[in-house]
Amino acid sequence: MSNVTEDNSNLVFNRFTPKNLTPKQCSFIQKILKKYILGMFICKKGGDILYSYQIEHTLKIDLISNFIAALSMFGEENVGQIKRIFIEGINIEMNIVSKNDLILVSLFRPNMIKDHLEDEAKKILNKFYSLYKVQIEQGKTNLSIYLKFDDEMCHFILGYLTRIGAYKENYEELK
Amino acid sequence: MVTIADGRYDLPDELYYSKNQHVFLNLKKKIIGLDQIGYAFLNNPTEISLLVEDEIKAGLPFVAIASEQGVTTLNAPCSGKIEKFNEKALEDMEYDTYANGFIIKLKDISDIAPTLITGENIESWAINEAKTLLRSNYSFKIIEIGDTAVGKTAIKVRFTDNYFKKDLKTTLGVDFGTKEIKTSYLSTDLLFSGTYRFTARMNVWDAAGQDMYDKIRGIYFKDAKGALICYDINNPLSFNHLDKWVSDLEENLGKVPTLLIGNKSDLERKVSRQEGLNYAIKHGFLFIECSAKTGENVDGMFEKLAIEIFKKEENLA
Repeated sequence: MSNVTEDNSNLVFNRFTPKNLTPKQCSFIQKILKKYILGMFICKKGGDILYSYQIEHTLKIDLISNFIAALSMFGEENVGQIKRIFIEGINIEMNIVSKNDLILVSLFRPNMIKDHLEDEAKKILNKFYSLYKVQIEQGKTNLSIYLKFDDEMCHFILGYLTRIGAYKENYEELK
Repeated sequence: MVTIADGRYDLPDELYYSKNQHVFLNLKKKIIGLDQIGYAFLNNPTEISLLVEDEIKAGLPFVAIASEQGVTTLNAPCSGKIEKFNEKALEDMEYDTYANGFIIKLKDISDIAPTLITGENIESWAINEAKTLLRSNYSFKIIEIGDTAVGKTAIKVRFTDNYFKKDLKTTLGVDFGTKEIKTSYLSTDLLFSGTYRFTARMNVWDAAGQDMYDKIRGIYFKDAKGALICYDINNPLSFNHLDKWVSDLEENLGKVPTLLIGNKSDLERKVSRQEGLNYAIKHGFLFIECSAKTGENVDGMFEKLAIEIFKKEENLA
């Protein structure tokens, strides 16, 4: 795994700007996200990534997903479910939530507020599964099928930032 | 709304679409634009320019769009006076083509082309169009199995990192490697003939070959789309053990696209090519001999496997 460096080419909410936000609000949220969140992805239990939202582009999330999948499989069979991993050398924490044969991994800085993280992750997985149940059960791994989840992910991120107070607190200042 | 290609493209059924160019016409809002399939065909459009002054005429060119594949000229689906040309159409086309990503707004509409498609005819037409939209991005998990020391890890490392390390240690449990490949498949299917270009992220899971891992190896097969079964052409014992690996594979995954690999083609041969080929034919596998040391055939075999998996995934086999 390579070391993490800052990448200035990051975009808020993958490749688009949500219509309900002003550019000023977007740039504010981008600042918050870049400070704490490195990315998140949803993969199958076998390790294939179906959807990813990557802020720190130097992370090799394909390798990470395979690693997490193998750990989860091994863990389930032998030691129980693995929920959180901290990698000291590169200062990254990973939150792992599994449901419906899917795994959601959030990668973030250890100083991020982790309240409600698990709840929100489960909500995201539920939504993803409800939207793409047929395709997931058919084992489809064409990533373009799942790209439209960007829109949902944007709402979840906003919801989470609001829930932990990071968005609402500064919202008035932005107006 | 008509949704096709596993949810990749939406086409509102109240709109009218031109058959070949994917230009849509919204009679209610009096706007013209490019539908989602048309946008996907364009491949990273960079510039849009209006070719007429204040009026469009049905069937005649009205706008040009520059993209990676050159300049595409769109013909008007109707006639009418232009109220607004949306110079920023390309900014919104990818995610909002039917509203903010429109190309022109008309004051009035006349002479609607009779060949436009709408309502219940949209679905069958669009499915065919999407099938010929040959750009896709896949993620394929591949499980690599075979006796210990046949060179499974060396093959994986040659493929993902393009080097050969002589003294690789025995794999413990499982090892991974990942690489993206771009390839294409020429289909001769009567309905969907053409070249399907796609990108595949090959996630190679190199499972330990030692007997001590027999009990846990099975869990790592989960969700694999294809398999590599390896033997060493210099070691007949590894060839004789293939039945064990085939039964392991079938027990855990059933029938998946599988490539039988005779590795170490740079060494003295003790298993003939014909023996390998016969075994592959008998089990319905693809077959190749390679050398992780020299790199011979390594990239090619992964490409071969990717195409087989792609065909299965898209029901083209």
